Amino acid sequence: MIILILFPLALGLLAGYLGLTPAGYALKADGLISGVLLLVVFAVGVDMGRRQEALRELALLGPRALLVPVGVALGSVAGAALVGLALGLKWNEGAAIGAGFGWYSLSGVLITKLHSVRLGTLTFLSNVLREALSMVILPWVHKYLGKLAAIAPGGATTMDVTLPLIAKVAGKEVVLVAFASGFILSLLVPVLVPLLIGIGK
Amino acid sequence: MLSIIGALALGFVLGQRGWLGKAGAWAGPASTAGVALLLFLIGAKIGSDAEIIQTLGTLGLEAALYAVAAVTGSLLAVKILERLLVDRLEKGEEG
Repeated sequence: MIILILFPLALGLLAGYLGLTPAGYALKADGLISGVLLLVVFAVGVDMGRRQEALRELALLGPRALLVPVGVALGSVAGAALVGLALGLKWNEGAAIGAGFGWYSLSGVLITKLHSVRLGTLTFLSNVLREALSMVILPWVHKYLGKLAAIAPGGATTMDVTLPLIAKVAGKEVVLVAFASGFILSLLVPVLVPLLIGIGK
Repeated sequence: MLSIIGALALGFVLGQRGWLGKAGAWAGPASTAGVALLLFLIGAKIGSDAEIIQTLGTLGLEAALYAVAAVTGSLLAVKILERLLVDRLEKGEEG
């Protein structure tokens, strides 16, 4: 599974870096990724429908499913706040970087506007790296920490870009939990980021 | 967001009712290939973004520390909550 993840990701990074992608790809990529994503999610849906044990297993997960977005929100903000303090920022500045939950476009723009270009760029880059890291470590997280923990690293991205990958690695039964968690976290980004930046002013 | 739920639901209904016939059996392998294609496209997007590559040199290490801390914090918090909640649920079932 790790080869399925690392190989295409590394190949893509390299192709992009070496300029092998069509001109202006970075700008057009979002539309292309969204289109492919819809097709893949459709295929995941068909597969879920054909094997109905996924829904029964979801029912077994029950209320435990709700703890995922709560844990991700608390853990991301606390972890990043600690790093911020260690690197000489105010706690709330570090916390705001963590509150991007992997949604790099929105959190980067918000912090650039509300704080500074430097902190905004740092937020953008940190959340890009979070998305990439969450995809690379997914098989290990699933193996050693379990199904629910496998949803945690992706943060807000588990409602879209990392959803099919989680379905593949952790199983179809966590698809709805992952979507719900990503959705809740996505709603929190535009609320928490300005709130945390505002605390320091 | 609505389109994702829509695609998932449409696929689910078609798969459950068996309306896709034998083509439905291709959904599993197709989603695996689709995941690989998605990862390639995401990688290429990051790799071809001049701004990301440029700032990686100056802010990369610092950004990586925040990313690792946020991921580690998330995993810790989810595991702690899972343990607390599961313990409580199991006690509740006994009583």
